[in-house]
Amino acid sequence: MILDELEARLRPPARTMPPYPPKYIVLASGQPLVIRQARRDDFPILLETVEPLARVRKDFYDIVASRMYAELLGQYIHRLLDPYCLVGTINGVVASIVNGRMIDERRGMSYHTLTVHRGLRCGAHMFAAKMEYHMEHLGQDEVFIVAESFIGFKRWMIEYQLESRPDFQHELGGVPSYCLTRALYDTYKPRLVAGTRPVPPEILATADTLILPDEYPQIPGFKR
Amino acid sequence: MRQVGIVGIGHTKFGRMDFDLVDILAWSSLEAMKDAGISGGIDQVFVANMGAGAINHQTAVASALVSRIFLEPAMAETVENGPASGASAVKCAYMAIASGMADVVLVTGGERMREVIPWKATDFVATLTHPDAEYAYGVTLPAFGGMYTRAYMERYGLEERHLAMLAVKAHRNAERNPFAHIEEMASMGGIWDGPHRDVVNPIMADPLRLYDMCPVSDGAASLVLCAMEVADRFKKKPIRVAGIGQATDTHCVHNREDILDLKAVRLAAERAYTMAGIGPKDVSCAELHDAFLILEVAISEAVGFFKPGEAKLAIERGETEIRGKRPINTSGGLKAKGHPVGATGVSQIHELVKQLRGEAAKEERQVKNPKVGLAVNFGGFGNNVVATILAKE
Amino acid sequence: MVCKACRTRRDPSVTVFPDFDKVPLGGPCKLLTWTRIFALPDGIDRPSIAFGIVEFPNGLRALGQLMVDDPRPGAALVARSGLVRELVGRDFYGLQLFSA
Repeated sequence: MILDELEARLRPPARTMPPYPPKYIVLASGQPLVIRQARRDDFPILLETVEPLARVRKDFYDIVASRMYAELLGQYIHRLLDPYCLVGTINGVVASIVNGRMIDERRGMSYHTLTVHRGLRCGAHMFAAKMEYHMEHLGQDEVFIVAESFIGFKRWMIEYQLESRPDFQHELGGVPSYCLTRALYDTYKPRLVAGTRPVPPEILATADTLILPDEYPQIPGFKR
Repeated sequence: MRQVGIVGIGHTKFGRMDFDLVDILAWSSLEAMKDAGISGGIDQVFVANMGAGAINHQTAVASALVSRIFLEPAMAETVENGPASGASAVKCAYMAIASGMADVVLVTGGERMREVIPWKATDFVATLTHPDAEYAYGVTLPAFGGMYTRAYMERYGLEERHLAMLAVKAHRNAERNPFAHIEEMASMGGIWDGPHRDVVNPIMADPLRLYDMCPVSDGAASLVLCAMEVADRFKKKPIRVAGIGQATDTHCVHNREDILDLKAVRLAAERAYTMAGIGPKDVSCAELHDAFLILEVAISEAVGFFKPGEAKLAIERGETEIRGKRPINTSGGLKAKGHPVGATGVSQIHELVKQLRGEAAKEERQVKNPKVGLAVNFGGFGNNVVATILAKE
Repeated sequence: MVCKACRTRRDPSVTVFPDFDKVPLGGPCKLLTWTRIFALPDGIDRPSIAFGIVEFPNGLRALGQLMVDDPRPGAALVARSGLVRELVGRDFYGLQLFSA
């Protein structure tokens, strides 16, 4: 690839991260939620998926969607170091997105969890998949997390009993930081982390080309 | 005593509603009045509500509602009887009309519980327990549901599978109910024998799982009741309130002689049957207070539909399905239609009226030729229960 | 509180019903039923908490916080008083249930 010299200077070093092997979870409805790593060609769809939620002024969707949009854009145009994004789809439609990045080999940083499809616990499964990625595939010992919503705080900080790490400066603005340690992950994994691998080809194929949601329960009457 | 009938029904969608509580109440009230073909002429308004003061920082909501929909100078009261507030308000309406004090009464039950974060709503509902002997421990209503379920399973051999079957039925019925909170179907392959059951349908109040419990909902339901002698003033034919029974039990669950005996349910149903002059075999369809699915099982036995421990056989045979011999919770029940606590008792009766009128047919959940409906609204953990019987004239 | 006449346990107003004996609850008891909840009310910041209803040899029953990892209905337990909940400015003491 030929890259402009100045652009090359702006970009962080390109490093290879271990991939997140796709998995699927059979939801309460019986539908499979396929969770896979987002590819570069997915990002225009992901950005378009997130964008309408940035104007939803309830349940902190606006701040979470705005920040995730910036993070995904940052990853797409190479302004983040060692980022990743996982996407969850139901019948190919984007249901939930999570992202974060590696700080170093031993430590990771969780950014955001954003769920479009509500009512089937997709957000909880996606957050768990993110922790699984850090612990089991990136081989890290600690993941640093902050919450920007009440639900996020209750779900992540209380459900996982995360350790308070007030001295750690998280990249999301200096709010109080918490940490998932390997010991905590091992304790809560049986209750919170699930999935089947490998994903049968016919199920994985449904998630190959992402489909934009045409409905947002958060935005009644939404029309694209 | 004068006979009483229901001539108007109204309902909002249950779920998350970003409207003022009184506007939610107003919406369903106006729907019920429209259904009855009236725009005024209400003598008395009863509003069933449990949480306006504690959650929404608003009191005297009946007075507010009257003014919001221009019903002054109607008499107005708010009725609070925990999760049985709705049926209690209907009982008050019945008494007002039967006594001759009012001819036409509007009953609206409503709640806006999702204004607060879920654990505040959980705490608010838990305040109905005994303050020292129960609440202080951090106990919640789902905790009582869990303890009741375990004791029931031990004695009668009910399995988690039976509850999952009820959840699937509830979601299926709710999917056909345009007012239901839950819009997603549930499948046995997802919540019972799926590969990821323990994460998809986690234990929430052991042995109760997530899909064994109702959601926290906003919403309202309304009824217009009148003296049968003035029923011809209204657009729709009346559905008669044939019987109402109510009973109480000890505040503390542990003080009951048998913790599995839903004595207040049994007595409330017996009183309602006696008043209506019928028995359980005469009931065509029922709305039973399934805040936890075990309650659909246990209440169906306590009201005499099945012998103790035998409701599970009816579940296995599909008898409680819409097309079964004994349809229960055709609306989706609290489990899937939702449970805005003050609205629930009114919403149950709304569904029975709909069934008895034959209006559920367009939603493809009509019970075949129903004549009599029974609603059981369960307050506290069974310490204040109201049973209502409706009959098609 | 136990009625002096019929010896059943109730939880009445102490102020207006003097004909009740205060009976301290504690010691050996049998677990009748139990649960562990994972959706906790406001003010309790831990992932789960367990409860049980127990019966004492004198026939009285009570709710308590269950401090047993593998509870089973019918299990022999011991009830002891302990701090069951802390709210701002107010501590609640109640029964905690341990393995016998």
